[in-house]
Amino acid sequence: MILEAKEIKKIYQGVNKELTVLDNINFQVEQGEILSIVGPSGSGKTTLLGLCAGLDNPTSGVLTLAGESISQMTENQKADLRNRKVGFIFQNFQLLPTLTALENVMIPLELQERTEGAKAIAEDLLERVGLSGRHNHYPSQLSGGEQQRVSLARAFSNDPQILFADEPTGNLDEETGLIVENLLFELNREKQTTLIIVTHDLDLANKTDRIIKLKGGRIISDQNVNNASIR
Amino acid sequence: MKWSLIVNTAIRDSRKERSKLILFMSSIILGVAALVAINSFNDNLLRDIETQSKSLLGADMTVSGNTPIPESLAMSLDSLQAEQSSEIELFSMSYLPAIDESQFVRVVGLTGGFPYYGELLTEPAAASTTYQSGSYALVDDGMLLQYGLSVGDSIKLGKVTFAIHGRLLNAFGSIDAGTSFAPSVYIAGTKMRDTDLLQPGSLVNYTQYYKTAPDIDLDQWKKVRRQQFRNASQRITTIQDQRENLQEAFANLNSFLNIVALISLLLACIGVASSVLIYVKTKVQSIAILRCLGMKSQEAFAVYFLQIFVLGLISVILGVAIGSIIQLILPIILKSFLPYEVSMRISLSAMTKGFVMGILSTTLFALAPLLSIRSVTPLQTLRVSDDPIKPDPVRWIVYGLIVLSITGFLYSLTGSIRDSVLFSGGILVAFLVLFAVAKLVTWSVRKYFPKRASFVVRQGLSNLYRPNNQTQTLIVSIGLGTGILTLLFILQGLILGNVEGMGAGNQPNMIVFGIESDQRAEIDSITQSYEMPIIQNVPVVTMELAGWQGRSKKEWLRDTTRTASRRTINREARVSYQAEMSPEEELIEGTYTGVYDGGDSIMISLDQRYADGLDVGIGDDLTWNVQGTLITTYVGSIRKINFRKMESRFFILFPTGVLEAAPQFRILVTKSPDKQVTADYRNSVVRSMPNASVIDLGNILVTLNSIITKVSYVIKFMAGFSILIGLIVLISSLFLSKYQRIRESVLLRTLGAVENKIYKINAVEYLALGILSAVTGILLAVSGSYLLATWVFELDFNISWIPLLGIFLFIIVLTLLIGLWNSRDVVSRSPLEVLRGV
Ligand SMILES: Nc1ncnc2c1ncn2[C@@H]1O[C@H](COP(=O)(O)OP(=O)(O)OP(=O)(O)O)[C@@H](O)[C@H]1O
Ligand SMILES: [Mg+2]
Repeated sequence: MILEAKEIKKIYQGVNKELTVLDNINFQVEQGEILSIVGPSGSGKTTLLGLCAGLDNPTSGVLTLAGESISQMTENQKADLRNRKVGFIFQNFQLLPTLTALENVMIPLELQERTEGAKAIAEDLLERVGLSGRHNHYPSQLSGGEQQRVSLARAFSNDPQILFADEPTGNLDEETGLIVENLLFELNREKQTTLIIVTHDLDLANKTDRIIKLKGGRIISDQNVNNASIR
Repeated sequence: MKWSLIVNTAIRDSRKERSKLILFMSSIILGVAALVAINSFNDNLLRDIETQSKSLLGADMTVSGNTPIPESLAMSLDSLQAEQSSEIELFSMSYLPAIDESQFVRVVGLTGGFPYYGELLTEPAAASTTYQSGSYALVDDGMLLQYGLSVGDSIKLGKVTFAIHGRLLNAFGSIDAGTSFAPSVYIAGTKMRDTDLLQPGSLVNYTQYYKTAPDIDLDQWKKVRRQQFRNASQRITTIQDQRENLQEAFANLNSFLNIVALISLLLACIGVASSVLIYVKTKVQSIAILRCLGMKSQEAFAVYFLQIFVLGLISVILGVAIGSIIQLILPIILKSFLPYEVSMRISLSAMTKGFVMGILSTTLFALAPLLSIRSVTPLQTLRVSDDPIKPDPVRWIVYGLIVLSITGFLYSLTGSIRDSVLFSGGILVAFLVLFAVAKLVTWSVRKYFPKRASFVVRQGLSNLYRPNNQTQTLIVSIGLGTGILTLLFILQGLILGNVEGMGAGNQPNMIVFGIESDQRAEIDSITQSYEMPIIQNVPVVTMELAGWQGRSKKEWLRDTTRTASRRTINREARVSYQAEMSPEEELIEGTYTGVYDGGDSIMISLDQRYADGLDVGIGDDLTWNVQGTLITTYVGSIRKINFRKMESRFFILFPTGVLEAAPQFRILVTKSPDKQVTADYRNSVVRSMPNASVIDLGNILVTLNSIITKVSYVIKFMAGFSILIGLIVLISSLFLSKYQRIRESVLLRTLGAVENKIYKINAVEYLALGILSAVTGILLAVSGSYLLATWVFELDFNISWIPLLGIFLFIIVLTLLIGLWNSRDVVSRSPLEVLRGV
């Protein structure tokens, strides 16, 4: 088991009233599982993802990621955990604007102080996502689809145990979206990574092993999908 | 800490962003350059004062007394191995055979190469070097003019007739006008004996002038031997004593330059803080991503700290270099404009001070905004938050350090704890006031929002309180900038007025001695007939101290444990009486009694130094011998005399109603417009009252005036320099504010707002900001300069409001124009760039 959520509750303190965004969230994710979280806008998907990845703290409940209880970790311990075991893909790519494509992919490795070989790994990954000619381009010189491919390469560069993706294709057209999706699943299969995707896109969700449906901050269904054939 | 990663990221990250740090670098460069330049100026000025003091004294040290230096002291003086000259000074009548007139003169007999610093100015110039070779005399120029005599005529002193060898254009001696009241005649010291003027009982002053090797610490030397010399009635004067007198006069200039230096540094710091704040804001997203990828918060902080620190270091070094270059080339460029010969030297201490302060203040002021990097959460990758950076609690420590280092810096400049605490306290208060105003503005605009105003006004005003608004940053920086500029402007005016008031132009330059009491009306009318002002016309009674605190002078002198100085005890007292204290003097203790009420006690007023010399205080009794009559008085008040003005000052003042019948003469102080009037006036006075003598102080004033010209120049230059930096920092922080609004404006434009609307919306916002911060800044400056003027500079506070109105309008127009310029940039930008997330 790589991820476990127990009795998760998240409350935002509004100006004069509390807003319960997540309530009574319980689930477990096994190593290598591919899972999607779907739900209407505002249902708390992004919030849940942020909590699972250790970017934020729940109001109450226990989250265990890769065997460690992240609610009890310090910020630095969480940062370290993310660096070693977690990868991210964002809807709006989140590349560092001042770094080139290659440098963006190298950053997680450099954070691990793996200087030797880092460049080779990054070049390899960029080639895998079809951007071998664009090493020295800055994000502003790349299209949205290209930027997202760079961020895919970055997400896999540190060999994460678990990968979080928030609407990875939300900002891309259908065709480009499909290319990115396929790349994501391909790389995932190769590296045997656990993958958690937040999405509106039911087609994308249906390509995963399991779908968790959120509504109003609660889980309304948690089903396995038998679609190994599609993949 | 992963240092190689931090260094790498810092370098890479700065590649595309260096232009955003131009303000940061330029404020440091300018601020440090100004600091170095001002401190060097200050050092140069001090050196100038030193040179001037040397040339006023003419030697490194003098020893003087009413007797020649006794054998017992000769040993220690010989140990100095100094070059020396001796002077015998006495007052005597002289006879002018050519016109059959006599004149009371100050006869100076010189042996040796004195003066060692400065020169004895004569006409012909060579006369000053040859007069000691025979029966020659150098005679005061004014006296020769008065009698229509010229070089080659003769003057008889005692038994010897001297040929007038040259006109004496200046004289060495005390500036204290009261003691030198006769025209000077210089002769060779060896001829003094032949004149037979050195009779037993005649009042003679012996002065020995010394020029020592530069490495001898005369003040230390003096400290050890002062008592020994004092006991032999010999007084030692060093350059240091002389310099203290001069520096007292220029204390204000020093404080002013210190303030300007501080202000330049502060302006630079505003630039640093606001540019780093904006820089950090643009970096929040990158920091969040790095954090998300597993960078620790202190590592992210280190990345940006390193960037800023290295750029800061480079800028400080550049600033020190530029400041020193300014020092070197300025005199060359300005040569023809400068009112005096400049001998600017690079000052190492100014460079070091500039470097240390530059690094310290850059680091601290950048640290305050940089600290908030530590609180950037990785969550911001998922959701752009309102308030991208949260203030860090550690910043209070940084603020504390900032206040401390400013205080420390001020202390290093002024050497006064009280002043430095007051100054930095004042700056802190100004900052808090501006901060409060900013808060009040956002609060009240929201509360009393003009809901029915036009779209443009509503948009512009709501920009003042919207998330990510720049109200606080801009009000504080524009307000502080305006305040500092205005303060500088006001202070410069006040100090220039004061310094120029001290100049020869406004100083009295003539003193008439020896007027009989019944000639008072006559001398007044003569003076007025030459249209000259009567600055002082006061009675003088000479008396001798007979005893105090119940013991006679003899008893005191025998007492070896006494704390009173022999010099003060033996001093001939020149006393005046007046009903009111002069406004130039300051009452330190007690109450001034102006009129004797006929009662038991006569309350007199003493100068602080005199009281200290005798070691007496309020209520102590003093008995005087007034030409045979004993009068007992009590100390009623103690005053501080202001020696800055050239008037006769009296250490001892009686109330009126006591001394009117005592033998006395009067002193009249006036001011003559030019040399010819001086000569004519002297003629008229001497013709109608032969007993009186007229002394021309013009020569002494010439030296003073040349210093004052320099001082005014330095003040103007330094203030101008600092105002320039202020403007540059102000303008650039306004320019930088465009990054704040660029997204909003571009979005509005994408949504279809026409150019004009965007201009107008921004105009409303900047206008509101400009007005508010200018008003606050100017009000702060007025109160600040009032406090400085009254507490530090001790000047009368008056300001003209018209220039302030000018500053007010200028700041508003400036803010508005730059605001519009910023929107021009937005309008000309393609919305596409923003969509790309640049
Ligand atoms: N900082 C915050 N303060 C207050 N409320 C918040 C905050 N962040 C999120 N919310 C609220 O939490 C709820 C869940 O938000 P979240 O972003 O998780 O939804 P989502 O499911 O990801 O929606 P979408 O599909 O539109 O991205 C929303 O109602 C949102 O308004
Ligand atoms: Mg979402």
